[in-house]
Amino acid sequence: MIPTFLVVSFIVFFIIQLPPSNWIERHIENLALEQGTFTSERHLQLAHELTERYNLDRPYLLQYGSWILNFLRGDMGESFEYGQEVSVLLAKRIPYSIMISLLSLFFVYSIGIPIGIYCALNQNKISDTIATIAGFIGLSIPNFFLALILMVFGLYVLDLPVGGLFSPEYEDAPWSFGKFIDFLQHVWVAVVVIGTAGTAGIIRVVRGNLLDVLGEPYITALRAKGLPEKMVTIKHAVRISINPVITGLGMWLPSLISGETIVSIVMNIPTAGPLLFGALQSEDIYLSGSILMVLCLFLLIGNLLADIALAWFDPRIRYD
Amino acid sequence: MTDKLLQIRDLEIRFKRDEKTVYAVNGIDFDLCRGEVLGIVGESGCGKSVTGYSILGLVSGLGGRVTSGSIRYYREDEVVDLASLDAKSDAIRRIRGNELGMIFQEPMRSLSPVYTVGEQIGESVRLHLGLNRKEARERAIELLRQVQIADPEQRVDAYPHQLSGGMRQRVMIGIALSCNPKLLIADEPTTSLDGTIEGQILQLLRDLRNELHMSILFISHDLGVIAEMANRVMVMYLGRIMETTDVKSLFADPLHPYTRALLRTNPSLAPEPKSTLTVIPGSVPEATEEIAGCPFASRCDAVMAKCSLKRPLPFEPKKNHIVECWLYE
Amino acid sequence: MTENQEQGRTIGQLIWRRFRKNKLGVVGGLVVALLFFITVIAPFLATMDIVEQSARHILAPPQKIYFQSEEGEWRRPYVYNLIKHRDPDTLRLMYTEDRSQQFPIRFFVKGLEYRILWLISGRTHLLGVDEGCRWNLLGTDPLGRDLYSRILMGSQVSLSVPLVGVSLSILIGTVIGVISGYLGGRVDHYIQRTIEIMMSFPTLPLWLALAAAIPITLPSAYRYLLIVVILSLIDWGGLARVVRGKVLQYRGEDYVLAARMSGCGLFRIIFKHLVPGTLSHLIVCATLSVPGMILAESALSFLGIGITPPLTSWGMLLKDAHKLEVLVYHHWIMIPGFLIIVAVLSFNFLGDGLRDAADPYS
Repeated sequence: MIPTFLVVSFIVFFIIQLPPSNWIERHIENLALEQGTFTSERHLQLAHELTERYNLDRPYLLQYGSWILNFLRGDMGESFEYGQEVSVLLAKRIPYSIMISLLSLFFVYSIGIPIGIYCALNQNKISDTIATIAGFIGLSIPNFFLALILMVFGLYVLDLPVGGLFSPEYEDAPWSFGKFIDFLQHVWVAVVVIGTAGTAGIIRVVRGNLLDVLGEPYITALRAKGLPEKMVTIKHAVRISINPVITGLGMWLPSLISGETIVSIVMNIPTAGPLLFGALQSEDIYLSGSILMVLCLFLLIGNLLADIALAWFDPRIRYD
Repeated sequence: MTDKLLQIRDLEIRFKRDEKTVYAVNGIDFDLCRGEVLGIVGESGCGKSVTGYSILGLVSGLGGRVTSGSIRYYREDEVVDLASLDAKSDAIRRIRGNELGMIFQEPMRSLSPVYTVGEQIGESVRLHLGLNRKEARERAIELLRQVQIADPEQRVDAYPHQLSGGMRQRVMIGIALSCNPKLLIADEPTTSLDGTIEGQILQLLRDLRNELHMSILFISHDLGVIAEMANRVMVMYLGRIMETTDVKSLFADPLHPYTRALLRTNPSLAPEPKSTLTVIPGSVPEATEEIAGCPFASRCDAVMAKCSLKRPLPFEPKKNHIVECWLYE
Repeated sequence: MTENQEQGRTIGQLIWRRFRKNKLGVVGGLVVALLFFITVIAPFLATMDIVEQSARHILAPPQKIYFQSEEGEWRRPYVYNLIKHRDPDTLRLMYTEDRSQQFPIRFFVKGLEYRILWLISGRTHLLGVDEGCRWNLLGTDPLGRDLYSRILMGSQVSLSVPLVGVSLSILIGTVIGVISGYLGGRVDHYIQRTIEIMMSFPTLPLWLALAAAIPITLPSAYRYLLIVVILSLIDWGGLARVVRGKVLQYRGEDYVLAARMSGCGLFRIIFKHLVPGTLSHLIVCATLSVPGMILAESALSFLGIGITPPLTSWGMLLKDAHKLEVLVYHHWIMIPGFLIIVAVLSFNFLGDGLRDAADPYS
């Protein structure tokens, strides 16, 4: 884990430093626009402060080192665009990103797994073929396009509120059941869009695995014990075939996060996505860098959790 | 209450594979009596395993169908035709694992990998005998002891992959015996085990049979194992029974040309010891066509014109020694 | 493909036979072939210049094609010019037909000059109308540009980016995979770890970061190349793994040992023996990578950090659809989106069919 984290963070640091520009100058100019022109003294002083804070006159590796250490301590730098501490900005948005991602995950598993099981048990019947093709189509629709279509549908057909996370009345209210429903009404499009591709993938994986398992000798042996067919399928076959689905979680997390990013940009939902996009375009380095780091951290933690879940599920792995 | 446990008549079983029909079993008759060990011996593809599966109605789960014939099972006070029962029905489910048990060839691939050994044994007894969890666990420990596994109190919580091949086979025997069945169908139970382990398992089966007075249908391609275990033997080839007799007679006085050829290929069992290893000429044909006459005609060294035209009737040239061969008309 | 022969058939022929049975795969393959054909002859099919704007025709709907005259006689198909109004109440754009003149649709019309595949130049276009009429087969965009022609030219970018990108991925992936598999040991270990790390990155944020790092002022063509490079850089991991697996497998094979013992050099072994065996898997992997690249390029262009004008791509054409009112009242804007779906779907079917045909036991 640790070496991965170091490599990843270094790559992120490298990437955000790529745009060839002198952002100190630009930042000071921006400030000057807001606060009125600076004297050349003030200009120098600001430049000096920024250089101090971010170690810009030190070697590259040292910059990286201090950035990472600060990051881990919670000091993620300052956003030039917003004039706030990055950590404050992220604290407002990241929780919603997580919530939407978790809802999408829930969507994918609760729809994908039952359909996958159904398809395996009804192999090659019409319903299986339809589900397979529907799955393929789901994989092939660009996220942003589906988001647009669903937004139009939601707005003009279902007359649901669109845009933002909450309706005005719930905006600052404390969490309650009503607020949660309002939240769902606003984000369902995002959840469905993000979940669609993942659902299609899971259906195929579950179907394939279950079919493989159903061909194994122990299924016949279980029937020979006199177990009812449903018990053989659900208690045993599904349980055994579910393992790759859990590992698959680790592989699917990246696209979950990617999906959440682009959908929230398209739909203008105030989560990490639009913030990152805006930061990249305005070269707000520490904001964009921190968001990238946080996203990567999610991935690493998610993978770890998936590994733990797998060990819990599959006794064969536990005792290795 | 008769001595008969199973009576099989005119059994035919077919499979569908890649749009072709496989004629696995083509009209066999035999009886199995209480307390006897009946061996079925033959090469791969002769239909012996399929016969075993069909008794428990497991053929449809593998893509096959019993197309005709009857499998009469003589219970205490009634006779049930197992072939007529729907494979998913409660009727056959109650018999499987309860009154008729089965053990399989590869123990690792026949035990569910995600549940402990104790849970898997317990599953049977809870289902058929209605025991609760605690009682089931105790019964599981008792069974593990009966199949001669050391430290049953520890082993009961082990997973199959933590046990050796021999131990897994013992577990499978334990599962099959958990409800005191009248018949144990053993499909190549020692084929995938090492020599010494094989011997131990066979001894275990003999001991258990004596203790529990149950019948065993022992299916194997290994003549030596059959010689050790069975009272009576049936030799199968391409879905038909070539010869049926008691084990001593089969080895001392084999009548069917196929049996003779089979014995010759195993030097230690041949009635007349020879110096060179013999092979049966030709190879086992695909079972994808119906054969008109005797299935062994194409490779038989005593073949006559009649053999390819008409299927031989079962003749009984000696008492309790049945051969399907025109030589004995 | 000479090592294994089964009943006189080569592996290629066996794979082709199995593939033919997969109906979806065959359909996918046909559609892909059709798309490529259209892309190549796109300038021939286009009707108008793609950058020509017209304030009098912004967001115009596709014109209705008439097959009968107003009296009910059958005629060759024709269209009317469109005149723009604004509805006084809703301030929405409306277009009515100018019935004063009928413009029949003509085939093989002379129009703008173009070049196909840098070789064939010409001035003949498949369809067109006479002077004085603006015929927008699929309507126009918010700047009055012909959507049909832009879609056709956009297909050249949308379909070439994944091709070039995948080729690049194959190149990088093969080289690294071979190095990793052949050298083994620590080199292999580190390379594999790197690939693992790379494959666990959230791809879109990375693309965003890299694409946004390209200076806006860079000419369109260079930007195209950089986008292709970015997409393939992040994608070669899977290919490298497959190649490495095969190399490891073949390393122990007897014929490789035999080749080495008879004095074959390293490269000869790789190219003559290992590569042909891996070829089918490479092709499958490549075909399955294409959908991801099409979707990636569309997403980046949609957000404005992908392809820039004067080049155009389907994703970029969808940028105009981002405003919901535009989308609802001028739905022809969405057509590029459906084309993306068709292209991606076809590649998915094709790749899936190829994979099942090449390795039915995987």
